[in-house]
Parts: sequence; C-alpha cells; structure tokens
Amino acid sequence: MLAVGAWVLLLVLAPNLLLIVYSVFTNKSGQASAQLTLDNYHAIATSNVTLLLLARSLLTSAAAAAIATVIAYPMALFVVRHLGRRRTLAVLLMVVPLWISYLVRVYAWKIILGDNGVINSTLAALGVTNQPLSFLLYSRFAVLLTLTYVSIPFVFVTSYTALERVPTSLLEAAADTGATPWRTLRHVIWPLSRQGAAIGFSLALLIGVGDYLTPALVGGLQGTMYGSLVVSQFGIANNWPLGAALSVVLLVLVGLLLAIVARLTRTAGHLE
Amino acid sequence: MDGSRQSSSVVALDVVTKLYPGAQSRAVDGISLDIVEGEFFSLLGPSGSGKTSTLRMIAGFEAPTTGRVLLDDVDVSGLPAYHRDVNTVFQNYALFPHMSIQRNVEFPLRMKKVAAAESARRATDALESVEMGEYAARMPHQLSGGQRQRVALARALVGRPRVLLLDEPLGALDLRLRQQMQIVLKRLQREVGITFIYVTHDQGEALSMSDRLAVMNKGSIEHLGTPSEVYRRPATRFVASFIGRSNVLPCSISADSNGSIAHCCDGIAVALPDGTAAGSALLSVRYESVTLSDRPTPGSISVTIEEVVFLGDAVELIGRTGETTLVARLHGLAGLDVQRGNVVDVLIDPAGVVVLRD
Repeated sequence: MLAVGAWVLLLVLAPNLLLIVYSVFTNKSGQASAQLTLDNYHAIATSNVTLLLLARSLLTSAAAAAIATVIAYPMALFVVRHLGRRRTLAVLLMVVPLWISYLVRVYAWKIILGDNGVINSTLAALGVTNQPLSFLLYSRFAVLLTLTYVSIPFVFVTSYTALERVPTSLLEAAADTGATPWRTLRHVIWPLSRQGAAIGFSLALLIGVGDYLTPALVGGLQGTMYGSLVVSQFGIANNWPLGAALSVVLLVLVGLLLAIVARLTRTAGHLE
Repeated sequence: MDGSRQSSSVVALDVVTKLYPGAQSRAVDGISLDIVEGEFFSLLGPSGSGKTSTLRMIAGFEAPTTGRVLLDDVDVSGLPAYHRDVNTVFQNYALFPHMSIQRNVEFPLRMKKVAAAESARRATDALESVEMGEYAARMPHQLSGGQRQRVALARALVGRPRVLLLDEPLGALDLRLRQQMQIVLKRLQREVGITFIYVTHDQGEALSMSDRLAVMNKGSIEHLGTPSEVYRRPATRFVASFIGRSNVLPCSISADSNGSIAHCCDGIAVALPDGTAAGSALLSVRYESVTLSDRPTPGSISVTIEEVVFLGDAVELIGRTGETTLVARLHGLAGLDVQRGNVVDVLIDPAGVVVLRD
C-alpha cells in the first residue's frame, strides 16, 4: 500500500498540484513569479477565442470518440461472437497501429487526404471529380477524421475485454427464454459491456481533447484546437501560468464530462 | 435402442448424431428417443457420454449433424433456441447479474410480450412456488447457490414451456441441499405436469426421481427403461457397473432339460431361469444379492474375508475364493462381527442375477 501511495503521490497528485499552483502565478515578461493572482482565469473567461476553441475541442474529441465507439463496439462484438480461435489474430491486427508512432499515423492521413493523396487521385481517376476536394485536408473535418481513426483501437480493446467477460451461458439463457439476437444484445450484452465501451470512449476523449499534433498537421487554420493554445503558452508565448490555467480548466471540464459518462453507463449487479 | 416411435411423444429424437468440428469421435452417435408428455425423463451417464450434447440439441443451442429433433412431431432441428417452447435450467444457474430476481423471472414473459402487470404477477407466483418470494428485490450475487438454483427454476417455469430441460442442476450443491432440491423438483414436476428432461451423472438422483431413464455411454443409449428395470435387469455390462454395484463374473452356461446353470470360476455355480440359452456370458450379481449363510449349504461359496468396509447403514464384505473376488453388501446388523481373515459362507441369490452377453 505504501508503494501505491507513493506512486500516486509522486506521479499523480504532485504534478497536478504543481499545475494548479502555477496557474495562480503571475507572468512578468516571460518569467513566472509567485505573486498569486486569478488574472489567468479571468483572461480565459473573457476571451471568446479561447472559449470557442475549448468548446470546439471538447465537441470534436467527444464526437470522434463517439463515432469510434459506434465503429469499434460492433467490431469487437463480431470478433468475440464469431471468430472463435482466430480472435487473437483479429485483436492483434486492431492493436498493431498503436505500435506505430502517433506522429507517423497522423502524417499518413495528411498524405491520404491531400490534393494529390489517395482519395483525391482515386476520385479523379474514376471521373467523379474535376478538382480535388479541398475540405479533406487542413480542416476541422480532417481533425475529426484523424481523431476518430486514432480512437478506434482504444475503444475496440476495452469493448473486446468487456464483451469477452460476458459468459456464454447468459447468452444461452437469454435465447432459451425467448430473446432474439437483437434483444439479447439490448437486454443482456450491452448492459454488461457498456462500461467497457465507456472506458474506451473516455480514453479516446482524453487523447483527443488536448491533442495539438493532429490540428498542427492536418487542421490548418480552421482546425486549430485548444491543445494548440496550451502548447504555445509553454512554448513561443512563454506564459507558463496562463498555460497552466488553461490546462486546469480543461482538466476540470473533461473530469466532469467523464464523470457524466461513467454515471450514464453504470450497470447494477456484479459479474462473476 | 428404442426404435419404435409413437406420435404421442412430446420430444422425439430421430437417429440424431452430433460431431463437433475438429473432434475425433461423435459426441452423440445416432440415438433415437421418445419422451412422453408429463414424464420425468433422465439422461444418465458419465462425463463425455453425450447426455449434455443431447440436451443442448433439444434446447436448440446446437444443431444435430444428422438426424432430426422433433417437438410435438414438428421438426425443429434447424430452429434456434428462442423460437422453441422449451426452457432450460442451467448447471451454473445463468441468472442475469444486472437484473433483480424479480426482473430475472419476468424476463421470459417480457420476451413473449406479456403485459407488465401480468408479468409481475406471474413472476411473483413463480417465485412463491419455489419459496423465493421474499427475495424478489435482491440481486443474484446476494443469493446462495441453492437460492439461485430455485430462482433459475422459477424463471424456467414461469413461461409455462412445453418441456423443461435440466442440465445437472444440483451438481454444485452440497449433499443435504441436493436431497432437499430433489424433493422440490419432483413435487414441482408433479404439480405443474410439465415434461422434465433431466441430465445427471448421479445414478441415485436418476433412479429416485425419474419415471424413465436412458443410460448413455460414449454417445449411445445402452439401456432405456424405468428405474426398476434398469437396476434389476441391466442390458449391458456398462449399465450393470454404472448403476448400483455388481460383481461381474465370466461364466459359461449349460442348458439341458433340467434347467440352465451358469458355471463360473472356482467352482461357483448359479441356477438360472429355465430356458436361458447356453454359451459364454457375464454374470452380474448385485452386491446386495450376495448374502451370509451361517452354515455351509448346497450352493454356498466359502470365501476368505479380505476387507470389511463399514458404511453406516450397511457393511460390505470383500471375500476371495481362489481367483474370484466377491463383494457382499449386508444391511442392518448382519456381518458386523465378521473380521478380516475369517472364512465365511456366502450365498448368491439367483433372483438378483442378470446374464449379460456383450
């Protein structure tokens, strides 16, 4: 217990406390000083741009996580129900992208979505379009698409784990008492596995909401996200207290959002 | 083994085979069965005998590889479980962990689109009938094994299915509880009048609860009959050794105008009913058909006692003569003072002897 406590203290509590402490510091021409002030929070609350970016980031990453869930959960269901011994291979294939650097994967989308990329070239070759579709890249669409893609493996893995734990005997009991496959899904499988899907959703949300790499590579000007703001405060703008304040605001809001998600997907009873 | 089929059977199997993918041998090897409405029918056998596979094919969780499964003379072999009017009580209960007991028992009715009020009422009645009424609001994990089993029973019966299938439902319970539940099950079956098909490896259960039973081994039915028939006249060596306990003695039978006699090793001779065909055979002698004689009499066998086993309500004597070992099961006070090394006389009761030709 002592080790766990020390771990939580060092790696979780301390950094977050530091962040909060920094957020009430003042910034004097690039140097943070220990004069406590709430100016940073005031600046955030009164900046329309900041609030807009905050809303956009939360919405985009939530949407990406949601779409990823809609895609990945049924896939996990299929793998668990119908793939028998080959399911390990399927899971491996789904997880392999995670072994590749995040930067490389996002860059790949940059190439695919570009004016001369795979999509535009194919459409042009098929005669469907005369000009390349420019909304594909350097847009909010591109950010959404990329974040969705990145989210899928996470939702898949947690959904798969949760679905595997549903005993076959329960599915048989449901069928035995007259439940069609759809009703078995709705009344038995989903309630018992939705927390897994929710965890995957939450992970995906966390990854997307503070991301600055994706908007930097494929977002263009329209696709700027909150993460970009935070990064610039710790980088070019050199205003760590403001950066910390921005981070704390995000932390609190995402925490609230995740708490709501957890509450909504709660299921009674214990699965043994 | 039973080839004839009547149309009054509620469940019938017509030469059903089941071969699982990748398996070396058939789990169920061409069995045919007719189960009469309202009877308590058991499938008895050791693990791997195919009894559970057979049950699962009746339930609809598996389809037969060849052959047909009929419910009320309708071929349901390809029909999925949720369309069959058959409910199952699972060995591990399979209660839905995220629903209360009440909701668990209401589930079959909800699936049948029964109105909420009536579902609730019928579920309550079903729970009362298994004496679990006061637990309706609890969750499955709060109940003990025996309680969950009763809820599973209520859930399986509430929809008033045509047939109830029970897959070793008492396997996980302790002895006392098992005995109580056997009585509950038997009573319930009689009250409700539904056909029960009961799978078990416990011959005591099968014998005490069934109207008829089928003894299965390696995918086939070795004997189908009433408990009394199967016990007293086992059809094969397997049945004789699986049900009750018997001495099995190789013998050769001589038959003439005076009657038939079985000649076994070491000078043991047993009179057989007139007309028993001659030839080599196996003699199955139930342990309780071997009795102590207080003095040598014609036909008695002199044995040296090698072991005395005290079983509470009985004593088993393991005795040897020459190469043959005979076990006698004595009830009451008989045999209490016999000791190892004693030489005693035992008698074989011809009425308790069965001739097996394998």
